[in-house]
Amino acid sequence: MNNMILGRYSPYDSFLHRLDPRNKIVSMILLMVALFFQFNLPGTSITDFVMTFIVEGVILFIVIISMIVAHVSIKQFFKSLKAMWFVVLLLFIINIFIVASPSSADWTSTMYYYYGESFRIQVPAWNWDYPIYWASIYQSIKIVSRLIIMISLTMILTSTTKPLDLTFAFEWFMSPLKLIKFPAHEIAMTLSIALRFIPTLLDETDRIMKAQSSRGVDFKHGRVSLRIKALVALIIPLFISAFQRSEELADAMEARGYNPRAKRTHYHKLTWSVFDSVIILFTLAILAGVIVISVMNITYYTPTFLGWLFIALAITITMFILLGIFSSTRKVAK
Amino acid sequence: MNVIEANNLKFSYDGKNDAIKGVSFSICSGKYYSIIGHNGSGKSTLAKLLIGLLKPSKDSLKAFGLEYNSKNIKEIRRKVGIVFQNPDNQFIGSTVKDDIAFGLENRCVPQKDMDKIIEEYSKKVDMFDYLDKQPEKLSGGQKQRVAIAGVLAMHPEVIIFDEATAMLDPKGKREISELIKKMRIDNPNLTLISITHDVEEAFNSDEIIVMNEGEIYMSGSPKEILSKSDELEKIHLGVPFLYSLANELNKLGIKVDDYSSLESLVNSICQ
Ligand SMILES: Nc1ncnc2c1ncn2[C@@H]1O[C@H](COP(=O)(O)OP(=O)(O)OP(=O)(O)O)[C@@H](O)[C@H]1O
Ligand SMILES: [Mg+2]
Repeated sequence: MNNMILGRYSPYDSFLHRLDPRNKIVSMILLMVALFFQFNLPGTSITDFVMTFIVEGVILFIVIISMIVAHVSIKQFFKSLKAMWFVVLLLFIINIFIVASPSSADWTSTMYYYYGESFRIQVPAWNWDYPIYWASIYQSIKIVSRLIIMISLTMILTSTTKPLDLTFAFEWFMSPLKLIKFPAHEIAMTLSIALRFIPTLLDETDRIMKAQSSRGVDFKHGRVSLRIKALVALIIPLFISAFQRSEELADAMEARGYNPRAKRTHYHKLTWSVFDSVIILFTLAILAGVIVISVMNITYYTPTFLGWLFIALAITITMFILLGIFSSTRKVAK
Repeated sequence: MNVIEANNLKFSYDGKNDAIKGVSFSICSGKYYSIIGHNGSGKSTLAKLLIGLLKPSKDSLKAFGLEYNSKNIKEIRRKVGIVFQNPDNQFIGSTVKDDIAFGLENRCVPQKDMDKIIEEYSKKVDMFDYLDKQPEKLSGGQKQRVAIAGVLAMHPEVIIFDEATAMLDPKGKREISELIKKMRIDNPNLTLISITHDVEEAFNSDEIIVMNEGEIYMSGSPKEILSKSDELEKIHLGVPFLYSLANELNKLGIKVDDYSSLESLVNSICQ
């Protein structure tokens, strides 16, 4: 049970594991932003798709190599994509309706006209005849591929960064807001304690379930209404014990001199290394490239673009080779 | 020297019924006290008053000559540490290391010194090999040892144990008792106050304080207290077989003085 929530962290000591969590968060966001640029040029809307897929391809390349470096479990990855089928279907249905009719396409751009009809849905009984445009299919694919890459990026972050380090990074990012009395430290502390107590509460859940089962409560069989009733027998004791715990925990923290408002030192120092600078410059360069391409309407068939793409790929590959040399990956005991 | 002094100390949770009904006592430096008493007799309440989690009424409680008020509380908590009963609910860090560091962070110990301190105190409680372990991978006894290390690392002068061994198995209990013995040898000035249901454990202390219904029922050396088995029975505290046997023998005129263990009892009967 524990692994469902925290098991995403893969206990290796790879190059990506050693990067500063702040860097990983920022780099992830930069790459996500890069994913979402539009390249639509009036009259040449197919360009948008091709350009999108080229940019996505570059980022996907980085993602795949990162996943290999970070030992992200492939099984976990596909598991997390399972829920995507529903999203794909939903997006497709929505796109059929919003992309199809020329009047609704006006507000996005003129690009959607250019793909023509792919097929029509016909239901004669209802006197229904609805055209489906290629554009709606393209559009769905575009969004889904972006989503998959975004999921992969977050997955790389969570499997190479301990949840606790994420809370430290969060506190660091929010620390300027302390000036306006934003409780950054308190939130980070709360988060880290929540993380600390997840396994404890899962154990507790398990214990309560066993105790209630032995009293005849059935959690697994029977009508839904009965099962919901059974759940009450689990949730109420769980809440009571959680409240009790929180009280004792607060006492223990206070007794050990904790005061959220007072100054305190930090045992965990986030350390920014040279590699972090290299990585963040690299992601910044990718984002800058995408922005320039998008703003200057550079298209994939111009020599400039091909040159850029070549350079981007060359840099990526060299970087990963260098990283491979500098980083020794070994499994660490959890 | 008295480190803690209580003078007609009262406390009430709800304003009507007093959980502590005006107790007076003093705690001497370097001694080992046990507080016994049945459930609800106010032992934990007393412990929480001593560490400043509950607010005592004015002028009724002093530690190191300091009043318990918001100005002094930081100083008092620096000198008085506590280990609670539930091993899980006082484990704050995500690993052993982090948990010991938690108290140090609160005391603003510079980060560069922390590793050394953590190493030193984790070795003292024999948890050095577990520094990177998460609490759910540790036994109850190990977690309590980490809690003790966390308290020791702050160099307190008084340590309170509020039924710190109540949730442990016999082996865990034994380990903690050993550790307490070692702590006293390491630092003879350390004052220990151990709240316990285990009369046998209390026998090892210098002085036993018996609580009943929010009052101090009696106090004295373990031998004194345990010889009054009738009075202990009155407030539903059982006396272990060994002591009641020795008491009965003494009553019958057979003198036995050393009854701290079965062996010594047998020896002194045979003399
Ligand atoms: N948070 C609270 N709010 C209200 N009343 C409380 C609270 N905690 C304890 N009490 C009451 O105060 C009295 C003393 O409780 P206390 O916890 O000090 O007993 P104890 O001697 O530690 O018992 P145990 O051996 O069970 O730990 C009890 O009557 C209890 O009901
Ligand atoms: Mg108690």
